[in-house]
Amino acid sequence: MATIVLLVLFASQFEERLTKDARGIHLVIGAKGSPLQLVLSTIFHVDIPTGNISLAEATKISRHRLVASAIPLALGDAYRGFRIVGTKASYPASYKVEVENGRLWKKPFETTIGARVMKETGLKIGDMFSGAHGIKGTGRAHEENGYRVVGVFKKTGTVIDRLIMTTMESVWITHEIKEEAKTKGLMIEGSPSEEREITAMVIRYRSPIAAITLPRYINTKTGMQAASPGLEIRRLMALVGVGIQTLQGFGIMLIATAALSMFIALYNAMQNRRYDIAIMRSLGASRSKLFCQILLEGLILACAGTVSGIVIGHAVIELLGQLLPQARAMGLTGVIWVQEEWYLLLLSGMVGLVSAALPAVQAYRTDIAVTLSAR
Amino acid sequence: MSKSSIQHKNATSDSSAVRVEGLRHDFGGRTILDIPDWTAHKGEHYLVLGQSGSGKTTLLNILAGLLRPMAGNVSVSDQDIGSLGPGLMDVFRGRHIGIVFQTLHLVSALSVADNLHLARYLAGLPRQVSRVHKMLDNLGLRSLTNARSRALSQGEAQRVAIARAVINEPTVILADEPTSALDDANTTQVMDLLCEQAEACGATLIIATHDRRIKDRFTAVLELGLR
Repeated sequence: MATIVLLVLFASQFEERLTKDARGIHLVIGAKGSPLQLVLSTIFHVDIPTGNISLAEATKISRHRLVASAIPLALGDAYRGFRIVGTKASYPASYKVEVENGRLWKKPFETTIGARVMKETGLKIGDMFSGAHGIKGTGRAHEENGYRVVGVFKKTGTVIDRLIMTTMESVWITHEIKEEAKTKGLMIEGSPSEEREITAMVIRYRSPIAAITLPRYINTKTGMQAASPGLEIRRLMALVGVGIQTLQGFGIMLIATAALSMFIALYNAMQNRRYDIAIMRSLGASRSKLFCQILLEGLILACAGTVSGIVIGHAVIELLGQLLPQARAMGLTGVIWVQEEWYLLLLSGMVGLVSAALPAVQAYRTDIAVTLSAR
Repeated sequence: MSKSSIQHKNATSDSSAVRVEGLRHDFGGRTILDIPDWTAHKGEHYLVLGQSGSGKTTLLNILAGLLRPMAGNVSVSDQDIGSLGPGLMDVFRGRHIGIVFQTLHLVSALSVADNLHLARYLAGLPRQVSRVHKMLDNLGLRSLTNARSRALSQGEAQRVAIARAVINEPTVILADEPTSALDDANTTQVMDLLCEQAEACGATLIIATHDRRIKDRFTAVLELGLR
């Protein structure tokens, strides 16, 4: 039962997280490469980006008549496993997240952090920190450029909880100065924007027809890549789903085995307890009372097993969510209740009743005089 | 085929606790029990005497409603138990009949006190700890209140079985060979207990035995012969 609960929790949170994080994003534009990698790195922030794209080229797309909104993202660094995202205020606004304490970032190196970032790093308003290169923040530290926390977002249960947001200029300054950008003539704040680069741009369509024309246009007419999160999520789920379904099948097999074991255990127990049942009948227990008692016993046994399984499943998921960086990035938690768990309880109750039915009928039919005299 | 011989000594009560009419029961094509008419009066003590195979246990099972006779009527406390369905018979038994089995049949997993509580619970009576404790006091079992019944000696288990039979204050107590495995001293002690407890709750006591050592204690004897 713990196995199936674990799978149910994982699958539901995985799918929910994917859907929630990608809500309202119709298209992602980034450097050419794997479209799945682009989506994973831009929307879910769990992969490295495919590369950079020209801000000028991306801006042209953002002005396309079929585009309702376009939000640029500049990635590159992280702090203790939490990604630093250079973007605009419209990015958190698209997730309808509000600032709980402090305010939104305004100037370079001001940051507003997600609820989980605050919880796990202990950062608070006014604190200074330095980002380090890479998705895990374990690369070379940019100690020369310290970020300052100016606000904390409310908890949303989305990717925003795990992000540190700042201005795009902060990311440009950090990388352009120290990473030979100077030699390429790239400028920091106030410099010509044509030569600046961003990592990706998330787009919301103005019209559904954009879904047909815009990706094709970008993929064929520009040096960039357009990836549809919906399509990529479906592809990912198709891939992961096979594994999940296999494991769920395995879990169902485990439940069936548990049901059979319970039936055998109850049946054997009933054989051993026929004598006790006969005694109880002789003391005045009615047949219906004993019948109900055996059924109840099966029900309690099954429910106890299920509750134990649920507790263990939740504990394991919570542990994984705390210990594994990938699971933590996904926001995996055991402190959650999903609809399917009610079904599991219901199913196990039915399994318990069915398993106890035959022994209960046997108890019902016990011939007291014969059973007692056989002793 | 020999008939049952019935002797009544000083059976003064005129109200019946158990009434048997035309009772017959066959087993394996052989009539093992044939009692044309027999009455046990309220508060009296009766001995059903007979050798092994004479139908003593069968008679007690019939009187307890554990077995349906082939023919005849049995009334306990003015209730024709043949007219009761299995469910009602179970309930009636729990309330009106206390049984001390030949093999004591205590629930081995339960403590002494819980065996008594169980008897009350199954009869649909409220849990009364004080009553159980008083009963255990009366039978000298108080120190064994929490002992598992499987850990008791034969004599202790016998007393617990008696306590369980009388805890619900039945109108009829049926005891099957309660002294067959006991020496003289223990036989006297068990018989004293049975009689005392039956008198204490005003119950009719019917003991089935082949043990002639206890014959003289009874005013009424129903002697069953082999067929």
